[in-house]
Amino acid sequence: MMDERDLEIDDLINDLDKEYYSAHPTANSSYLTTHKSRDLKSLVRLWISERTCPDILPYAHDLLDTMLDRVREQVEVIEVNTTSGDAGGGAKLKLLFVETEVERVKFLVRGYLRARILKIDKYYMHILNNLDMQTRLSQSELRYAKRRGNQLKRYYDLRFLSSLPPSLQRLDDTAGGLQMVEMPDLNEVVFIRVLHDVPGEVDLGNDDKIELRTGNIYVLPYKVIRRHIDNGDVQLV
Amino acid sequence: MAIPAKQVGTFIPAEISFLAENSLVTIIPRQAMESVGLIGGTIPSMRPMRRIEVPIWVAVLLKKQSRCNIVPPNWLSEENLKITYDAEAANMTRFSANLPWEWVEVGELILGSAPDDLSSPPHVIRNLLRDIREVRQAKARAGLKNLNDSYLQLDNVGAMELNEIRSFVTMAMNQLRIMQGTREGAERQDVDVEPDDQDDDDDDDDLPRESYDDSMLTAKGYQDSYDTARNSRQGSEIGGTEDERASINSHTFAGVRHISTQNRSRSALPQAPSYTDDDDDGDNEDNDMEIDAAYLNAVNGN
Repeated sequence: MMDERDLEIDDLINDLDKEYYSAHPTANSSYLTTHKSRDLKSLVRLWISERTCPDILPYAHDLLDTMLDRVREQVEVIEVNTTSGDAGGGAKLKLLFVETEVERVKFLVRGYLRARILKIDKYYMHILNNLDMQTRLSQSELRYAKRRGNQLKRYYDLRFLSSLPPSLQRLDDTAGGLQMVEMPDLNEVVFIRVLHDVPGEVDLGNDDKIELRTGNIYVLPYKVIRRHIDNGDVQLV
Repeated sequence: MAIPAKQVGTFIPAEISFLAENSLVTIIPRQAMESVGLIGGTIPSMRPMRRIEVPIWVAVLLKKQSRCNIVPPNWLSEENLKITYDAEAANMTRFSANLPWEWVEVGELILGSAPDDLSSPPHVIRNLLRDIREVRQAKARAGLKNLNDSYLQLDNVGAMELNEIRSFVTMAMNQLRIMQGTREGAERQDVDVEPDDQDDDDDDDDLPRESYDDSMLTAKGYQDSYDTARNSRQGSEIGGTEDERASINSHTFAGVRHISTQNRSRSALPQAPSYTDDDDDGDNEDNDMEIDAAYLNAVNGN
């Protein structure tokens, strides 16, 4: 049993090492721009976007899975190296980098999920009434939203709703032109940076038109720039 | 567990700094180390005196243990900072493009962790950075006078600088937008029922966007655009529109360019015969002061 496990880990590490060394010959002199650094950059962007966007963005299943897998791999590397006991000065230093980076990545993942929970808490009713919103959540996020909805409903019923006339007991009333369900306001302004020139102009809807040129930084309503955020012309900052 | 309230709608400075630590910097290792595979890249194998590029957080860790020297980026040299300062001071209407996006954070990180690696005494660099920061902050504040509900342009602003005005700008623009919405609704009703000339005048009081107030002017170009805008308002709709666009476009203020929709759409509306400067300016001055006070509170309060 023990042997089997050790073997697996050894294989894993060997594979990892092989991957690193084949992708980056030791003669190389820079922090390499590989698929790995691309993924980390995407995670950073994802975190920033989720924090700054008024709407709930689609959950990034693939990227999150990849990053969490890599965190697990790195944690194993740490465990193996600390228990194997052959840690000289150099190995300790290497571990310091690995550990620091794992914490940095975990911070980003946590920040991303917590930014989403903030919006789910706020808009749970809208999410439960809207299939499109539901497809943007992960399984566990959707479960969370449903449970939250049920619990709040039960709580309100128990505390005061049951003593109100039936016609006033609904939590998603739309009578009188007023919407009880809170939903994201897509007119809220966002800060964006233009990544590359975009031909034509963006119509801001009130006679104002702007051009998108590389490096421009604008503050404008999310709704008018959403299309360009989605197709990668501009990024939220 | 959602994010704490202080992080809603903005980033805290530590988070902006955290992001900047991912950018790359050149180091000169003092000792050898094998390459290290990380999640977001690979630290190349190090050999003494052989320059490599690593993320700033790696450089800072190495520097703390005296295992490397950090090569400060070019823009952080005394000479280049002086050039940048002059450029910033020479044009009070826009931010210079001499500095990278994360200049505030990277400057802090390098000054904090590797003051001995700078080519000039650290206090000289620190003072220059502070001077530049103050000039730019003054521009950002002045530019806030141009806030409107449509859009704001802030080219070459830094990440930290942007984050400092984020809460205020977001809140103000969202409020202006709501006010604009109700106002348009009200206007439409007024026009339908009984076209009221006086109405136009009153509207100017609502928004600080028209802060073309003589006492607040600091730039000649601003005065020009004010004049043109005023003239065009009395001129024909089409001519006025073009003049206005040209003049306001060519005079940008604090890197903030803004074409006032109001001016253009208003020229189509009925004009009040007794349209006086005093009326306009008096009220707008109040608005400006309110905005400035609110901004200072927001900044100092944090």
